[in-house]
Amino acid sequence: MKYIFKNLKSFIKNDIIIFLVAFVSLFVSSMVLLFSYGLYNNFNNEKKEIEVFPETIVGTGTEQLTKSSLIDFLLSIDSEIIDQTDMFYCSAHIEPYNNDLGFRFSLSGKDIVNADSFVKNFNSNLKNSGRYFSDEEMSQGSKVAVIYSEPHSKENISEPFITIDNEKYEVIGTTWFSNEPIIPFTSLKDNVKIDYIDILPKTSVTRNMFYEYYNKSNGIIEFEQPQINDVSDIALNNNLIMMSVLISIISGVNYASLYKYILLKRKKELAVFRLCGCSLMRVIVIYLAECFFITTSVYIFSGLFFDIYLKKVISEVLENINEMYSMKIYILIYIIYITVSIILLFIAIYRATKVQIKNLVSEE
Amino acid sequence: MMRFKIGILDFKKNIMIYIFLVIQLSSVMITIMLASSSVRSRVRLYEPFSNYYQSKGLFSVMGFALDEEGRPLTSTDYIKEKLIKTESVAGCYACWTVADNMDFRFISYDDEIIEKYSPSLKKGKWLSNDSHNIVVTSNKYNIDVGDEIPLVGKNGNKIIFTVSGILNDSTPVPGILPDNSFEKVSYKHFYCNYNVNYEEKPLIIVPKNYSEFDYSIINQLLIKFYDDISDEEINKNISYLNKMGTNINTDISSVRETSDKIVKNEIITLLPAIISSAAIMLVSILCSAVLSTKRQIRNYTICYICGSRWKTCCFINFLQTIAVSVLSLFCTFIILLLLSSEKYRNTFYIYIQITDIAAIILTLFTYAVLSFSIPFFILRKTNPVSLLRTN
Repeated sequence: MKYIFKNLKSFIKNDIIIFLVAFVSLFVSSMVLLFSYGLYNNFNNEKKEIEVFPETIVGTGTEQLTKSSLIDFLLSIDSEIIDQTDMFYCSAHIEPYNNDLGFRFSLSGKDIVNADSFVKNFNSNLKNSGRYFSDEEMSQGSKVAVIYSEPHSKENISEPFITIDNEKYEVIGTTWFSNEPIIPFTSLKDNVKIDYIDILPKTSVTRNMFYEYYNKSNGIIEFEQPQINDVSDIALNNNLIMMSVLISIISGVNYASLYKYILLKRKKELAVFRLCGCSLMRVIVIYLAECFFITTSVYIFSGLFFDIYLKKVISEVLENINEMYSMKIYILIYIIYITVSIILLFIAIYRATKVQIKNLVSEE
Repeated sequence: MMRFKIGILDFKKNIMIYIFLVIQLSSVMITIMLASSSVRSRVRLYEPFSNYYQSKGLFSVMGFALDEEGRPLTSTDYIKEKLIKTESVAGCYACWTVADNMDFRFISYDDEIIEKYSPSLKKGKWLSNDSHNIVVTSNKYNIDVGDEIPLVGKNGNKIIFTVSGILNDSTPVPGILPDNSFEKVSYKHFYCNYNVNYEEKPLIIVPKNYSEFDYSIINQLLIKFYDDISDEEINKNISYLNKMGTNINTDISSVRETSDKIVKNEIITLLPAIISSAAIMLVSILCSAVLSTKRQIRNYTICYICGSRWKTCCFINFLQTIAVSVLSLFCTFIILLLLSSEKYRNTFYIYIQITDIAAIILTLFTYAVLSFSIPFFILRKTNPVSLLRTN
């Protein structure tokens, strides 16, 4: 341990410029590594957004959006657009439930019917026992309900009736999919307020489809404008990631060459160590420990600088950056950083120290 | 000759060090290119028409524009003629044609737009207005680069066009109205990210100068006035445009203000990466120069003792510096060529301009000057014995 600090002291004392250059190299590389993590996460989120679109048309109901106004609105939509729509999903707050109840349906002519894709999915994956309501029950507004039961529970229906919005509903099936009961949209009272609506197309959202719904809504639904992202933003993110990788390589090469230079200057010291019986492995461990000490100190310093100052600056442009970093992430990045550094330095140190003792002495 | 021999011998002896130097310098140069390309990518939609945004003018959106006789407007030259003190107009056109058994949307641009802006392409090349080429978006008809498509002219005759390029999906294309609200207009409103699924029809960009087709001005229009135009004259121009059928006429100064804010914010995103690259580049160049020189000083001192002059030693050092620089330049060139090849065209945004080449030359020049001057100063001011002792 004593030699590690002795070496470090002599490094700072005799080669202050090289030490400062090494410090800057390590500081920059650890900052770049920390920044790249945020950048990469941000890039992944953006990429997901680009790939996800266009899947649904999303809208929020205004005060005027009730069950009856929603039906009137949907019936006013062009039949070609209705044919391109797979399912409507809407949600409403119904007593006595704290969370909104969700409703899935589609249109067949002027009739509200079950959404085929959801019924298929329910029967094959979501059902525990009983059955889902039929198209007839849906179009007639029958008071039937599918209620929650534990996953994989095949027990028969425990309660035959439940009360929703002061109305008695017959329980016909159970599912693990929803904590709140699933009931036909048509069974709701006409004045029930609808909070949200999602329109799911059969293939993808089109401009015609969006504007048909948007224009016919007459302001009772606030639709979110579809965002089509420019795919070349992915290339820009790749540029930044490539830059980060290159900066890390340059820093790494810098540090390795600087340390190799220091080792060349320490040939005399190395020769004395070896003549006094110090094994090659021990010499390597001493030098590696010195590097470990420097690298760790610089990482802690740059980590603090990044967390306290730089993160705040970056958060103005990368919105979610604050949520991306935790102590676990800092430690994980440190482990990657130190492992790679130690491997590179081990190679450099091994190459510089494996010279025969007599060569070391003769070179001096 | 002897100097060259010594130089080559030393190069061979320290080959690993020089390989490291080449890797380091190449990485520095590629980082410069990536950084400048990244900045350029942030202004790629603003920069081509910055001459419009930086002067007095209007950002207009045309409905179905008609001239004084009630005929569709077929050229922006008419607008330029009719408006007061108008320097230039850049507009987009609907091209009235059809393709056999295929359903497309056709659009054309003024020469200025074609020359200044090239959308990102999946394959192939962008077109010019005097060519016989067209550019298409991805499509269900499996049309590819090199395919020939006959388009029907106004007299029913067919004109065969060759597909020169395929546009990337969702790439910004001028002349189609975006969904964004036009309340706060920026340079982004000049483009629409054309997604074939969303728009339903694939798009064909047709050259403008064909008398066989009818063209009519549609959608976005950039108008640049002479600097000496008064507010009153601008208002007269706006009312004339309204008569022609424009829906929106936004003063370009407000477009500039909004655009500048957007560009500034986008460039701030790149700052951490650019600052880190600048810092590491400076350190790296300095470091490589100092270390390679320090390693050589002992050899040069020995050469000096053996009768060689300091100038000869510096010359050998200069030769090695040149060799490292040329090798690095070569590696950089190969890597950049690979990154900008068709395979990686959409993976990285590499856009090389004369300023980037200047930056690379400056980097190499700094490295060469440092490598050359450091030993020169050390060797001239110190005596050989003390140099041998310290090194």
